[in-house]
Amino acid sequence: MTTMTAGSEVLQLVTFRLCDEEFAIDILKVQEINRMVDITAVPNSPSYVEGVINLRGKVIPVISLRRRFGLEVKEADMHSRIMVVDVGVTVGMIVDSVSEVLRLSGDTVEPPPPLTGGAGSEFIKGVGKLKDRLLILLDIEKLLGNEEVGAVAALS
Amino acid sequence: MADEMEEIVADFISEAEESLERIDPLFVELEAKGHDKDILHDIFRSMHTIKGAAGFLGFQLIVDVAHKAESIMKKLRDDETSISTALIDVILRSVDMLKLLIRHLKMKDGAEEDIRGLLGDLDAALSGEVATPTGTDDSEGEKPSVIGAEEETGYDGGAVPGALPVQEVPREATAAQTADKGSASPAKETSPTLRIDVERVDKVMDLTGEIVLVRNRLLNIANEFDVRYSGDDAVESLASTVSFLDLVTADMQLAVMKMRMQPLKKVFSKFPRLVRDMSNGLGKEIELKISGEGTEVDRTVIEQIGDPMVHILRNSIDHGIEPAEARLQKGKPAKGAISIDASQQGNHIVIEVSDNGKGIDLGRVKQKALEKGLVSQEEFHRMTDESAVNLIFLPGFSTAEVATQLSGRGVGMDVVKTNIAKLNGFVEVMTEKDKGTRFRISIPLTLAIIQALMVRAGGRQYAIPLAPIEETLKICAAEIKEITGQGVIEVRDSILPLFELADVLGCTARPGVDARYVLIIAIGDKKFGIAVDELLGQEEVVIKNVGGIDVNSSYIVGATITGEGKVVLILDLAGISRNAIGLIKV
Repeated sequence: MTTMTAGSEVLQLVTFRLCDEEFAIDILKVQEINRMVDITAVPNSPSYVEGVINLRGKVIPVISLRRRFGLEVKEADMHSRIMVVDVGVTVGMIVDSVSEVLRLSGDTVEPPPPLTGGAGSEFIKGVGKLKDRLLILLDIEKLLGNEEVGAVAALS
Repeated sequence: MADEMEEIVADFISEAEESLERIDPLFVELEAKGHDKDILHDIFRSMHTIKGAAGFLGFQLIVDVAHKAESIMKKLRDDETSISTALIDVILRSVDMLKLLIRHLKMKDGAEEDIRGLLGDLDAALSGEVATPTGTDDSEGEKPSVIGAEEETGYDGGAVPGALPVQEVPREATAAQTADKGSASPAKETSPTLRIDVERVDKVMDLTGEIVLVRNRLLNIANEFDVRYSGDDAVESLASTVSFLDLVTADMQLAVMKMRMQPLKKVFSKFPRLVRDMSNGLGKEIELKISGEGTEVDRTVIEQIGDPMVHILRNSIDHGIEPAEARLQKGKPAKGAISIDASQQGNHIVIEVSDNGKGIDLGRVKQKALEKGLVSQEEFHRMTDESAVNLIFLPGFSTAEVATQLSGRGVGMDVVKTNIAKLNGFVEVMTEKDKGTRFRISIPLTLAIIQALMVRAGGRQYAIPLAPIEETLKICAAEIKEITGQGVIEVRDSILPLFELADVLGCTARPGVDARYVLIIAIGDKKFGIAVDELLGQEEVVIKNVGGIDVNSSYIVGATITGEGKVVLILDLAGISRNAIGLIKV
């Protein structure tokens, strides 16, 4: 297990965009990245649960990260992607676009600034500095973990 | 290294569990048949194997219990003592203790059991304190060391020949009814087997489903090519290759389904013991006949059918079979009989549990239901025997008070019904006064595939399990009346509440459509109509679990994937009826 804030360990991250911000998650959690597909809506589910998709014969839930973070909702376009992550249950996350895979030295990551009281701040593991960019490192387990997601991940 | 050890322990646990489960019914058999060397030897050998493996792994408590039980078995086998109920009881208790100890190992809870009491009893039995004719002669020779030495020779001498004949013994009683099945299963048991993680099998099943979808797409493409370029050689060979793929895929799907199938024996094998213990406790004599235990069902069924069957058996033993005197007075044999028959009928598995007891007193059942307010005065008078017998499945009916006062069944019968409904099955009861009662459980062969009606509502497609749908109607919007805000329709003189599926599921209904399709749904005693925009037809669908979605609040039992690869949700009508509709007083 990588601890994002510790030492000079090298982190391998997948970065993606959401509302002009750049986010990153541990590459080991990402199972695959897909283009948008037909999503079947599930009645009576939390608003951020977009529905379910067919992932090669397996039916998995898909959540909208924008909705999850309380950001303004945007129609899916040609850049939109479904990132399939595995945190015990397999869940798809809709993001605006996926940028790149990069390595980051652990000591360039700082703990989240105490003032980020904004949307979804509890899911931020740290902030990575990269020349002229700032990467928000997400704690994907917290984001999709049992208590936080409620309906999603309640059953596996 | 640690992993290896863990694996060895896990193997030991599953093997020990299996052999303990297997010998349980043998004891009952033994008691019925009296002295039977083969059975004795088989039990002895199982005990010995468990003892040996446990000793190797250092599970001392298991060794102690198994050793003592084994010693008794050996004496029985060598005719040094004779079988008595008390003796069997104490050995059965040690079997139970072994099961418990092994469960602790499995759970890794580190809990220990106090086995001293049991060991004392075993010693007592061993030294002949349980009154047996040869008891006194043996008492002095019963030093553990002596037995230890003897048992080795006993084990080596007769280990191999005992194995098969004993397996066939339980079937003799049932051979008449299911000769073919009986002879087929022993062969199966000797064929080499492989233990596979269930997850792996399920994974193969998922992938197979995916191949099925790809095949469907290929078939479509091949058809298109055929239309466009018919007569072209390459297209012809594409078509024939695809149709071969079609056949192979279907075979593969079946083969994978079969991998999940297990014989009902796995469940049935614990019943002889249950019947024995319960009937002994009640002072009744009951003979249990089992047939068709080789019938194979999906493993989900194996896991869930046990409880309902135990409920039914308990009721038969407790309330069905009369005490010996009462039976003799009625001119019936003193010994009661319960039989369990399993068979495959079409794509259903039918399990029948019948007894030759006193039957259910339907008059009392009706009376009781009236007293409890489960039926109205009017219903009470109109009620036929068939509907009266189904009253025993009503939830309110299974109270302790009813169970003691009523001649008939009632304990936990609602549990039976709900559990079987969970398996998409149903249960019927046939009863005749003083002749007996027969419960017939029908369960679909596989739970992975159900018949469903495809509908469209609110612009989306849904699959609805066919079982609770009584009929479908086409009506025009004007036929929907309203009573205090609740939509109703009239179907052959009865007024049923009507719901828009789209409303129930919280999506916007398509406005301004005059023609409505209505499904009449019957769940339990509730009957209602559900209106949809379109009926798309009946289909066999493969149920997929939806990981990560709270199925209870979203009214779905799962999802299925259509030929085009789209996900369609399978609706949980029971859930809808309970939550969305149950609130409205009908």
